[in-house]
Amino acid sequence: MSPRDLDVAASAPPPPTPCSDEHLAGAAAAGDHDAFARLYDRYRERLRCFVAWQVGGGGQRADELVQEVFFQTYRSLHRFGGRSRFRTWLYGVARNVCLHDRRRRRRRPTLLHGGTGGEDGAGGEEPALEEIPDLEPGIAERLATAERRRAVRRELDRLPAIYRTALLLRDWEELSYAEMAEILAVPVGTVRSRLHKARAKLARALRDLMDGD
Amino acid sequence: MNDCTRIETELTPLLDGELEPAVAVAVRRHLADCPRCARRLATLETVRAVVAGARPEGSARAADGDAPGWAALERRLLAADEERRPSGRPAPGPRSRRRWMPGRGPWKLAASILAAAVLAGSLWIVEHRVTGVVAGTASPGSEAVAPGPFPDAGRSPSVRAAEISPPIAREPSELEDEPCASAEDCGSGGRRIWPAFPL
Repeated sequence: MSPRDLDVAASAPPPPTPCSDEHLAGAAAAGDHDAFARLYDRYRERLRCFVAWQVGGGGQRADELVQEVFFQTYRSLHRFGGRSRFRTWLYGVARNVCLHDRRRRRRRPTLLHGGTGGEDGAGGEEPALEEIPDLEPGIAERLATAERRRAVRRELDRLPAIYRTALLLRDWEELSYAEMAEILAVPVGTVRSRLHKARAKLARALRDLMDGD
Repeated sequence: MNDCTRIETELTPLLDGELEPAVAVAVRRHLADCPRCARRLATLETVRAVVAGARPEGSARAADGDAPGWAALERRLLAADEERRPSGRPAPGPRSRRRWMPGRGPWKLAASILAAAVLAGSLWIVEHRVTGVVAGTASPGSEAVAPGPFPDAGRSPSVRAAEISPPIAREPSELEDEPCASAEDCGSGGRRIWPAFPL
């Protein structure tokens, strides 16, 4: 079995059950709005969070983009053949909607927070392997207060978008590498590499944050 | 590339449980002997915990279909459903079918009655003409033809056929191979040319 086959097998959906995402997606594709409402309810908050971090801002803009994600998902449900999980499909649509929104806004420059650049916010070619710094023990507990969490989010926001996206999909959405590869339309090896670099960059930022106190 | 550099690329998938078991065993064996790589793994683990802890708390889940923004989204979905229907065609439903039937039904019925009347009239005219021809050629001693629209009623089809057929009428299969009696009766193929049926 080739590595590609393993990737596909890992992201294959389980058999649909009456309340599974895949079953509800099938019903919604047949015009059942109640089924789609349940999917909306399941994923709205998580997608809003994901979208807000993707485009570097929450509030009304994130709400509008979440609406757009669900609308585009509904319109393309007839193409969802159940070959992958519905969640993977949904996040793929979300990523495309966010990319489209960023490009559209880049043509109309506005002052946005977030240090993104390049096609996907990477600022061009990806650097070689990141050096992982040492972090003193107990730093996670020290960063657990509300104020520290906000500081961590600011550091996350400063990451290039491709690394931030990889971290959020893995550590917040708990997606597998195969699912992430499908959503991001990159090989699993690229997912590994981006995650590694993202954590290494963030480790340096956290060390600087703690040194600054 | 030394062992530590190679191992470093495997630390992230090891942490995420995405490493193949055999590779994971080899990496753990290296970590047991290499404090530097073990510290790197600890750092990555710390970063993962910090990121997971920084996730904003989502708002309380709403009841199915009552989540904020659903009403606006559903309006867009309904509009999309309308767009998907072929243009110029009304939405299918029992009401449109009921509206179609009362308008067309009487016309169809009238057309059917008219067609039946025309057919019956044509049949009567044909029968009348045939009866008249036969009556005009009947021998003086033959049975009188009853007047009325259907004078042949009560007689068998074979009797009627004998009356209306000319004396030379024979089955076509019997005529096909019959040789010509004279040169003027024959065409180029040497077969008899039969006159048209004299009705």
